[in-house]
Amino acid sequence: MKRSLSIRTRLTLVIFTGVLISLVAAVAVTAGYELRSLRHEFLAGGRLLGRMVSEYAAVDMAFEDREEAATTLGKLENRDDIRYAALYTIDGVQFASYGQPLLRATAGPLSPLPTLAIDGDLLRVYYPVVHAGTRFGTLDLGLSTAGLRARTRARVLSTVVVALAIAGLALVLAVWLQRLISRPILDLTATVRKIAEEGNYTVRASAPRADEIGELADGFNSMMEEVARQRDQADHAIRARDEFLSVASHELNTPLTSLKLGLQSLALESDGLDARRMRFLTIATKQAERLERLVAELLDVTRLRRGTMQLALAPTDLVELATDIGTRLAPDLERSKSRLEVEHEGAVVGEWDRSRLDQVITNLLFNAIKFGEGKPIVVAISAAAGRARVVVRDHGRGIPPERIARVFEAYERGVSSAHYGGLGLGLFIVRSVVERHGGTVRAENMPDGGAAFTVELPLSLPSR
Amino acid sequence: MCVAQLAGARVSAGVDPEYRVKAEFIERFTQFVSWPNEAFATQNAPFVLCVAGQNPFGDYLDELIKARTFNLRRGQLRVIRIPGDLDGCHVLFIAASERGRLGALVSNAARKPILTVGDSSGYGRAGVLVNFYIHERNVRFEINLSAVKLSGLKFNSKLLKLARIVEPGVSR
Repeated sequence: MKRSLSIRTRLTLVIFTGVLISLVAAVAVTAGYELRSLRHEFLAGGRLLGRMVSEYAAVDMAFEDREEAATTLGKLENRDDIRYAALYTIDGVQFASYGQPLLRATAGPLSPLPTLAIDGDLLRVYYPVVHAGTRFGTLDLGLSTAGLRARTRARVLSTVVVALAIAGLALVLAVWLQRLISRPILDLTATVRKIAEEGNYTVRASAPRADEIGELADGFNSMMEEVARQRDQADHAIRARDEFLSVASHELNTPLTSLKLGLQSLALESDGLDARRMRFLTIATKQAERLERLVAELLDVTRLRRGTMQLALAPTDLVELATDIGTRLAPDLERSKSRLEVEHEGAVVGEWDRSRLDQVITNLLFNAIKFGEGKPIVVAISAAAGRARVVVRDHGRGIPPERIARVFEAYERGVSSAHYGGLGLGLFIVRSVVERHGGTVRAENMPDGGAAFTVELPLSLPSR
Repeated sequence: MCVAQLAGARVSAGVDPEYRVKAEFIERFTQFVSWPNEAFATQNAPFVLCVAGQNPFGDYLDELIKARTFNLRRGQLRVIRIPGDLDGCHVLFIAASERGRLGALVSNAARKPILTVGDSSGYGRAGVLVNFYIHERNVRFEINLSAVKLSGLKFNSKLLKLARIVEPGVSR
């Protein structure tokens, strides 16, 4: 869950939390201190008032002047937060009063020490009435705490408002600050995505920076330079190879044609040859034919790579074609001891280039013979929904899994070249021809052993 | 009278409650009046309360003096027989019976740090510093400010708040 958060969100959270915690802590400490001092101030005010009134009333109590004491207390009416005031003698008898005194608490008035107690909405101040070391009684003052509560509420409210404002500010700050870090990273990510999605290797990370992300971008750019350089080299090498193959196949073709003509002429005049010379002629002819196939393959690859192969489309029956090929390859099948079976449910006819499809099925069958280990080979031909399907299936060792994805690439082979001959172009030609016909080909290993190559072709080429 | 309410009072049998209050008041006066240092011979000199004339307090004043301290000093009671014999007195109570010797007593005490306390109408005007009177059955007192100024004693202003002020020769 956490891992799916973006860098931007995580940075924002980290910065927001950090800023918020420190600022809120500062506000809370300040507010706590202010609330404490507010209360302290209130209590100090109550204590001072108690002290002044009791000092002023001391003489009244000393000389038992109740009238004067009542006058003294009466002056408190100037402060409307004073609910009541009363003087008690040390025996606990009320001496004078102002307002409506509460029933006095037992310990309060008799205590020789000043006592302050918050009792509901009242602050009760008990202050001894003392003069020159003689205590004459106790003052009981009741002060309303409404003012303190109102100021406390106002302070708490303003603190909450300030805290909310700070939280908002922290969020804005976090969103703004995270960009400093996340933006260059996101820019770099966007660049990488562009290269990966568009395959455009000329794109470079922008905005040179002096920090670590700048180093990363520089490193990335250098890496891309190297990739581009190596791609150029590889492209160049491939072009050079294709060029060489094109030249080589054409150059080989000319003497090969003369060689074949010579051998054919010799065969026509072979009546006088003895058995030994006749065998040499047969071998030479056979090897010349093999050489011709290899050169033809190379020429095909050259044409396929350049896109200059032309298709000669004509109604073609795949079943008939496969049967013909089976007949033609009978000697090879016999040599490998594989039996060929062509499965079909009647003719499958489409607009195709017969000689090219001949090449496709031949190559697939050669492949099956080569790797079939003498076990049966099946060619299954069917048609459905406007598409023809040819499956060539052997029962040999199958294709090594690490190579299965690349078997249709040029010069790739399913096995090492040490054990099996060929240029590694057969399946490349198969794929190229099938694709030229608008079809697909795929290779897979079967669960019960062996490989299956499936070709699918539209019955006719989509009109261009 | 509210004798029972007064702090520390020990009730002596047979004394007029009015005079118990007055005895307490005399003790309280000493809390609201300051004597100059020269009024005391030594650091430990006693605080001397003198009574001129017939003592109306019975044993009460004597007991009170023994029980209390006066400006952190122990108290001493002295009876004055000759008006000129006032040296060492800090408080001089002039009983109502002394009306005949009042002039001599006042002039002897004048300009000295002696708190004279009278107990009869007209004593204040005659130059006694503090004089008791009865108002609505309560003991009250008047103060002769001019005489106070001459005495060198310092009266706490709170005391003045409770007193009736008299001028020499004229009652206000």
